[in-house]
Amino acid sequence: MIEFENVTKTYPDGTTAIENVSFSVEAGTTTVLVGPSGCGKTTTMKLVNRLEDPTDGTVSVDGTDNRELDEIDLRRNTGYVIQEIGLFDHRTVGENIATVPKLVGWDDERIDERVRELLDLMDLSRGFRDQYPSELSGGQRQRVGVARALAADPDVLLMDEPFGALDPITRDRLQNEFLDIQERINTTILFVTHDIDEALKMGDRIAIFDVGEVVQYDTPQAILDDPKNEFVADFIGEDRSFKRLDITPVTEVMGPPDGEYAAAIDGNTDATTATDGGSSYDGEALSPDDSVKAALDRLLRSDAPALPVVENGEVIGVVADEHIRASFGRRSDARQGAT
Amino acid sequence: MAGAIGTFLAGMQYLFSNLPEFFDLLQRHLALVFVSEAAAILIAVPLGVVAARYDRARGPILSVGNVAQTVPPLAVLALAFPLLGLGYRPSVVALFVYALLPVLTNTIAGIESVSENTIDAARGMGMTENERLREIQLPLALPVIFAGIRTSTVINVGTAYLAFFIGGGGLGSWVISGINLFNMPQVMAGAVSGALLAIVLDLGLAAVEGRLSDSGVEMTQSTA
Ligand SMILES: Nc1ncnc2c1ncn2[C@@H]1O[C@H](COP(=O)(O)OP(=O)(O)OP(=O)(O)O)[C@@H](O)[C@H]1O
Ligand SMILES: [Mg+2]
Repeated sequence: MIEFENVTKTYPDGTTAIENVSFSVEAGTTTVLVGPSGCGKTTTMKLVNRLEDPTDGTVSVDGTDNRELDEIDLRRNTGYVIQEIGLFDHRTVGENIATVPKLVGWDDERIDERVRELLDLMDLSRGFRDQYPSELSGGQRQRVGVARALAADPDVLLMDEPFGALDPITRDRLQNEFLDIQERINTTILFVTHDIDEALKMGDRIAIFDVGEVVQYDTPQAILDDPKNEFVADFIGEDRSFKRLDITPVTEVMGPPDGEYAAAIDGNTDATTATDGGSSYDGEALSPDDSVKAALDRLLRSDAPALPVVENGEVIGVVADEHIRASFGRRSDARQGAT
Repeated sequence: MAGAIGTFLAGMQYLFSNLPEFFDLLQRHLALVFVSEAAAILIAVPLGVVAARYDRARGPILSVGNVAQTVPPLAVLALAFPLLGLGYRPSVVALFVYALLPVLTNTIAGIESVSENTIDAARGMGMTENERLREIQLPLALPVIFAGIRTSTVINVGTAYLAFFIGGGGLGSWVISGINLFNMPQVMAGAVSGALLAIVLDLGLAAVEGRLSDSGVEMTQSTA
């Protein structure tokens, strides 16, 4: 767990990068720092592994003020993907990835195995292992940077725009890959981006920064539902509803599988090959992981008035236009009424 | 032109008819260069590391190095003479002083040319200051440091001719006494062999460097 308590950082030249920032990242969750350039995201990150120390306030890791921790141990236990990648040009890709395991004294065999594992994970061919960073593309270098940060199974992972130099397709794939990894490893992650879509996708929680301060710290859902002020609303953009559709799973809007749509979906559930984005049209069923956006897309392209949501061959619900509309069109009103 | 070629051939003829003496002088010359250069490297590289690491040390170290360089080599020799007397040892000391600066400045420049990002990454990985120096900064600075060593060595081969003035021996014997006696073939024999020596040493060091840095790091910076 990482906790920022009233943290202010003023650089020696007098620039105050962040002022009175407080938030905490629960163990095993991902918090995304998002905001315009120069608002203090990188500074916030560097305060965690003590590349910088706060001018005021405390940063604690697992309940201990990090200034009381040995900075070398702290850093070796904290994976760090720096914004500029910062690979060691005189070392091969393999040696770069092995940096921290070597520092903490893993044996060669274990390092070797780990490097291979990470190359596979980052979808880098094993041939890259003996190449030098100067021989790689920007995107490949970035992936090596992420692999290097993950190498020694750190408890805390700091990622400063780790997917910035990737094309949209690769970025999307690595984001998904990373969401999977995140479920498997129990790492506390602080992730920096200036792309709100990436923030919404990757974060359990999001801290929206304006110059030097956190304006809103909340779940993606809550930020979309209820932006705290105009700055946040502007930052999210005009297509707020679309973004919400994208991060909401169909299971949250679907209706019961019986009732009026039972007939419509009857006989439509066998050829279940639902996949993300509806690229497959053999069947029209949705899977519980699909987003409402995918469901809407499929509905718009389909003749059927409703689509079944199928899990392990069993229909667990149906989605029709009206479910989506009911859930999204009137949701905020309903919420406000309830509270 | 024909005169120059004639003198050159006469020089070679002189050299080959005095081979034993030539090898004697060459050996002495090499001893002057190697010992003074090795000492200069051993002192200048660590000094450069200290200067690059501590801003406060940097100014004084550089100004000492600069002063050593601005004094003409002949004057350095002249200064060495009253302090250390005549012969081989004072010559080595004078050459050593004169060889320091290129190695020193290039060591500093090399270490400082390592990018801030690379250093940040190394710090962020949890490398101690010594690990950073040993595993990141020095290897990355190696090409630049080596360029300084090569420059310094080539200059050293030339400066070592002057050691003759304080009894240090070397190829200077042929050149300087040849000038005094107006013996052109002798001058030529001494000068050409020294030039060849400088070229051979430079290429040799380049080869050593190539083997040391078997990495993708390119020579990006050479001496000023
Ligand atoms: N070492 C430093 N010395 C002085 N000022 C600094 C230093 N590092 C950052 N700053 C300043 O602090 C502010 C915040 O910088 P920071 O790098 O944290 O921003 P950022 O949110 O990461 O920006 P970006 O999205 O462009 O990476 C900026 O005004 C920057 O100029
Ligand atoms: Mg930044």
